[in-house]
Parts: sequence; C-alpha cells; structure tokens
Amino acid sequence: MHKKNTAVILCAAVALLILACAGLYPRSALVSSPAYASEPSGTTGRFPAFTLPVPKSDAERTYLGLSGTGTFSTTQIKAQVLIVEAFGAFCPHCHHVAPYMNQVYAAIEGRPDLKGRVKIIGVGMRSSPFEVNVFREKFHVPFPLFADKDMSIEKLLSIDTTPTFIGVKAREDGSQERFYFRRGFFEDASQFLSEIVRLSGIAQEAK
Amino acid sequence: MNRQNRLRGFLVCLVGMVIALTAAATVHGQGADFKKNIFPVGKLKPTDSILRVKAGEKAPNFSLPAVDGGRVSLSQYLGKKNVVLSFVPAAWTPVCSDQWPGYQIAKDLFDKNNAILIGITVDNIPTLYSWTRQMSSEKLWFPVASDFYPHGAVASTYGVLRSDGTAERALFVVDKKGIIRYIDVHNINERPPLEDLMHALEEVNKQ
Repeated sequence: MHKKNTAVILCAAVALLILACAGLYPRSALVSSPAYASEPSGTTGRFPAFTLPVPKSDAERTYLGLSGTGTFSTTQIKAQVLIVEAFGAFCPHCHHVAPYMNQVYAAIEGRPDLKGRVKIIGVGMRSSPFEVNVFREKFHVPFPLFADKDMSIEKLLSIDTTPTFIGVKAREDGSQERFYFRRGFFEDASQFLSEIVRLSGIAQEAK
Repeated sequence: MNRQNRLRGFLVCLVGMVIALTAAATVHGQGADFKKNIFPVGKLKPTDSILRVKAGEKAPNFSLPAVDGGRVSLSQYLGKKNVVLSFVPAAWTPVCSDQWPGYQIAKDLFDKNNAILIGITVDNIPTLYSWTRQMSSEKLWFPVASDFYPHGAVASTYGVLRSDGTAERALFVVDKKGIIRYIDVHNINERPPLEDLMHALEEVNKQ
C-alpha cells in the first residue's frame, strides 16, 4: 500500500519535471533569437532608389504601372505604398513566409481602399533569375519578383538576413521614404498588413 | 476504493505527461531558430583538395547510412535514374544551410531530368537529422547520407575531402550507366547556381 502511493507520487513528480522543462524551452528560444522570430522596427529614413529590369509579363507591367522594355527605377512604380520583400530563393524562412505573403497580396487586391495604392515586389538576394523563377512557380507568387544575383541591392538596402520586409512611401517630391523595416518571417498576414497600413498613414489619407 | 484511487492517480499523471510531451514537441517542431544556430565560418580557401575522379570515368560506388534509416548506395539507381551527388562541407554552416532547401523546392526540375539527388556530408546521423529537419516544413524528398565513419571515406575516394576533414561543396552528375558526366567542385564560399546543374542534367539527357 505504502509502496503504491510512492509510485503514484513519483509518477506525478516526473510529469511535473517534464512540464517544467517544456515551459523553459519557449522562453529560452524567445530570449536568444530576437532578430529572427518576427521583429518589426519602425526605423524611418530615405529609401534609396534602384533599377530593375522591366518584367516580361504584361500583367506584372500593368500591376507596376510600367511600359516598354529595358530597366525602370523603383520610383516609377505606380504606388503610394510599396512593400519590398528581400528574400532568398533558397532560404527556408522565405519558403515559410511565401504563403503568408500571397495572403497579404490577396488581401490588398481585395480591398478597394488599398488596391492600386499598395503594391508588392520581391527581390531575390544572391539568387539568379532562374532560381527566382523556381521560387515563383513553387509558391505561386502573384506579385513581381526580381533577382539580385550580384548583391548590389542587398548592399544598397543593408540587408543582413532574409526575409526582410521594407515599407516604402512615396513623397510628394518623387523621392521615397522608408517607414517600415522588419527582419524575419511572420505568420499573420492580416496583422502584417494592418501594421503597414497604420504606419504608412495611407488609411487616413483615403478619408 | 483504494484501488480506484490508485487508478485515478495513474490516469492523472498519464494525462499530465501527455500534455507535457505535446507541449515540448510543439516547441521543438518550430524552426524559428534555424538561422541563429548557423555557425559563422568566415571566408574559407575556395577549394582544398585534389580530385581523384574524372568526367567520363565510372563513378566509384558507395553505400552509406541514410538519415531516414537504412543505407543509400549509388548502385541502387544504376539503370534507373541519373544521380546528382551533392557534397556539402558541414551541417550548420552558412552556404550549405541554403543549398539543400533550394533543391527541396526544385524537385520538379530533378524529376523532369529523370534525376535523383543524394546529399552527403561527413557529419554523423544525429547531427544531420537535426539539421535537415529544420530545412523544410515538409520531409526532404531526397536521401541524405552520412560519410562520417570511416571519416570522409567517400569524399576521399572522389577527392573532395578537405585538409580540415570537411568536404568540398561539390556536385557530381552520374548518368544511368554509372558514368560521371559533370563535376563542379565549387568555391566553398558560394552556392552553385541551380541553372548550371540543370543545364548539365539536360546535356546528360540529350544523349
């Protein structure tokens, strides 16, 4: 009888120990990886313009408000707010966030107050056009993607991890201002879009 | 009565354990810490070994333990598939941690070229298990083999074992007849462009 009670107590103790250990894991994970979990930062500043090749697809050219061939400057993109995703075609976190970014795109296109005013482009850090295309097809990415094989845009935008999301707002003088900078993936598309909308101030302007 | 109490006690701690283990599993299932766990190796000597095989020669056969259990050998694909051998230097290092996730999303291209991929490193199975598990939310479609013991024996046979005991970042394409058709001992600091490998496979399939 006594023995049996001890067994029950022991069993409960083991269960408690496991619970305690499980409780410790998430805390240590959060403390040690602030930069990669999901961390928006509101750093603002000038957004340096860069050039990209005009997309071959008619739909993408229309989306960006471009015509012709050759190259274009990011300042020419027809948008009040531009979301730039710096991704890596081969990066697992970018694979992870891809469906959520597609949700963000769909949400924008589905909102009359945002459609045509908020646009998205992706730039593939250290990725060749071929690799960017593999990424596009695998994840059915609906917005234009570009390659940055020679790392020039990576350097210009000071990208040190992928994915990084940059929110850019058009100024009246034609230059662009960065109002949002986030390192790491997210899993809540509507929260991400709300942040973009709120920090850009685009919602107020519409009223 | 006593018996009932004991039974109840057991059930309570059983439920407790299940909850605790589930919590622990959920935490471990997340890959949010993948990047912070990557060891910064810095810039390395581009290549550090002398090839012992040539294109046009028969590829030396091997049989290595695979992460999924069992063994993987080159000869098992003889007459069935083209084989891409992807040696990467070591688990948990920067470039390698992006290379296989890229192959993971390019399965269609390998299929189209009637090719299988075998990933090989000189790490042991438990290390490879932890590392590859964080590369994708889905199971890797290709086998990953451990050339750990005797250390780097296969890498050494092919002449891609570096002087520090890691392997080169090397790609070999072996056709269905077991003949080496393409070798790229790549600069260890850079990821081989996917299009180069796909082009090599297309060439193999032409004949």
